[in-house]
Amino acid sequence: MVLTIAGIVLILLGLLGMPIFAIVAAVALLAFHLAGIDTAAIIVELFRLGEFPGLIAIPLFTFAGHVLADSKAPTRLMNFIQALFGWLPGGMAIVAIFTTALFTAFTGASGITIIALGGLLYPSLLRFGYPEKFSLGLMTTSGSLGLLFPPSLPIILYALVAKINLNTLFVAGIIPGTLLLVILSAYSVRVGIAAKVQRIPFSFGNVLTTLKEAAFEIPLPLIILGGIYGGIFTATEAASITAIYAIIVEVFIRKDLRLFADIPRIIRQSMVLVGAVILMLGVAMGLTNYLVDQEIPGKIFDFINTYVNNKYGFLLIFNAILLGINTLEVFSSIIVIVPIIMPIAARYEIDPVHLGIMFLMNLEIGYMIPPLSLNCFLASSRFKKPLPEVFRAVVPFLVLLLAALLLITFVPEISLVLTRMAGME
Amino acid sequence: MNLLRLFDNALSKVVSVALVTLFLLMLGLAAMQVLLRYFFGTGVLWADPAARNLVIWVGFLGAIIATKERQHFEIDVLTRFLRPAFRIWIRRLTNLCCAVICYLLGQAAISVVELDMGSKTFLDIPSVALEVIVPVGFFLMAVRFIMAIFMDTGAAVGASPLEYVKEPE
Repeated sequence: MVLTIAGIVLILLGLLGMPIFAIVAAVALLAFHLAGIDTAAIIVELFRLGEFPGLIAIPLFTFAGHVLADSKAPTRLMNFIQALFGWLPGGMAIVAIFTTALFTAFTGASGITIIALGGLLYPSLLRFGYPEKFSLGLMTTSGSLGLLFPPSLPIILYALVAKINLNTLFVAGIIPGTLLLVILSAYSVRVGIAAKVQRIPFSFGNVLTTLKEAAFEIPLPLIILGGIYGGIFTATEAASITAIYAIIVEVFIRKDLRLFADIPRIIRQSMVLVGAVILMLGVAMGLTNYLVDQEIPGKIFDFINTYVNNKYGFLLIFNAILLGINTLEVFSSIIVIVPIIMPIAARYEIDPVHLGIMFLMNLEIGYMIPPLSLNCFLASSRFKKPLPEVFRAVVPFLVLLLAALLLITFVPEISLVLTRMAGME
Repeated sequence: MNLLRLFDNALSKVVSVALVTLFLLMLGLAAMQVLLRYFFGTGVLWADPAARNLVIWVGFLGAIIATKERQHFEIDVLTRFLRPAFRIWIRRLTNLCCAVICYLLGQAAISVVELDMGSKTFLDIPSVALEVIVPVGFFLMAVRFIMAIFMDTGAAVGASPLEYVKEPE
C-alpha cells in the first residue's frame, strides 16, 4: 500500500521533471527500508562502481568526443565527405547524414547535434533545392543518428551496464550503424532525383585538398576500431589514446583549441554529462541488483510467457514498450531497464550483443518519435517550425528507421557477423 | 540573496578547479599505463585502481555542477506545456524533494565511510580519503537543490536547458 502510493507520487514527480537519479534513489531508499535492509547498502553498491574495469572509458571517450566536436574537425570532415559524395543525386543530404552521425558519435546523442549543426546544414539543404519538409525531417532525425558508432556514450554505457565487452559491442555496431546511414542515404537519393536538386560537380583535386585538411581526423575511427578489431588494444586503452590524440591534433597541430582557455572548459562541460551518468549509475546499481535478487525479471518473464512463448513475439513486444520509454529519457533507460531485461532476454535465448544493438537502435528511434521526443522539440525551436509540421516531416524517416529496426531485430546476423569473424563472443 | 549567489559562484569555482585537476590526473595515469604497456611491457600496480577512484571523484564533482546547471537527466516533455509561473512552483517542489533524497543518501554514505575508518588501500592511502567525495558530493547537491528553490528563475526553470544553450557560431 505504502509502496503503491509512493510509486504513484514518484512517477508523477518524474513526469513533472524531477531528475531521474533522485526518483531511482527514492525508490531504492524506500524499497530497502521496507525490506528491512540498511539503506547503506545503496552506497556500498555505489562504491562497487570503482571495481568496473571499463568505467574509465566513459570520461575519456566523452572528453575526446567533446574536444573533436568543439574543434573544426566536424567542418573538415564534412568538407571531405562533401567532396566524396556531393556529386551524387541527393549528395548534400548524404553529407548531412554522415556529418551529423559523426557529430552525434562524438557528443553522445544528447540532441546537441541539431543545435550545433542545424544552423549550417538546414539552410544548405534548402539552398540546394531539397524540399523543406524533407530537410526538416532529416535534421530532426539527425539528432540521434550515429549512436551506434564509437565513441558514443550510449554504446559505452550499455556495454558497462550489460557487462558486455566494450570491444565486442563497438565492433557489433559497425554494420547496423552503417545500414541506417545507407538506408537514409538511399532515400535521400530518391528525393534528390525527384526534386532535381543541385549537385556539386566532382573534382579529384577537391577530394585531395579536403583529404589533406582532415588527414589527422580521418584515421581516428581506424585507430579506435582497427586497433580493437585487430586486438592491438582494448577499448579502455583506445579511450586514453583517443583523448591524448584529440588534444595533440586539435591543440598543437591544428591549433583550433587553446590549451589553457579551451581544454579546461571542455573538460568541465563533458564531465558534467559524465557526472550525470555516474551518479545515475551509482544510485541505480543498488536497486537493480535488489530487483534481480528478488527475481523480478523471472516474474516478468513468467508473466510475459503466459501470453507470448516465442522469441520473436517477445522481441516485438520488447521493442514496442522500449520505444515508448525511450522517447522520454534515454540514458536512464539504459541504466535502469537493461539489468532487468537482460535475464529475461537470456531466457528467450537472445544473444546479449544482439539485444544491445537492438536496444541502442531503439534509443536512436525513441529520440525522434512524435509527440514527446526531444529531437522534435529541439528541431521545432531551432528551425522555428510549429511542432505539428515537425511531426509530419519526421514520419517518412520514422518509417524507414522502424523498418531497419525490424530487420535488425529479426536478423541477428547483421549485428553478430563481424564479432563472430573476429572471434569475439 | 547576493550572499547566496556569491557562495554559489565560489562553490562552483572550487568544484570546477578540482574537477579539471583530477580529470587531468586521471587522463595522465591512464595514458601512462598504455605507454608503459606498449614500450616497456609493464605497468604500475596502483595506477588502475587510482584511475578508477578518480572516475568516481570526477563523476561526483561533475554531478555537483550538473545540479547547478540542471543537467541531470529528467523527463522535461510534459512541463513544457505548463504556464511558466506554474512551472516555477513545480520546479521548487521537485528541487525540495531532490534535496531531501540527496540528504538521505549523504547520511547513508556517511555510515558506510565510517565503517571503513582505519582501513587502507593502494599506496597506503586511507580508504576514507577516497570515499569522502560521496557523502560530501551528496550533501553539496542537497545544498544546491535548496539554493535552487530560492535562486532559479526565468530560463533556469525553462522547459529544457538544451533550448537555452548558446548557439555556436
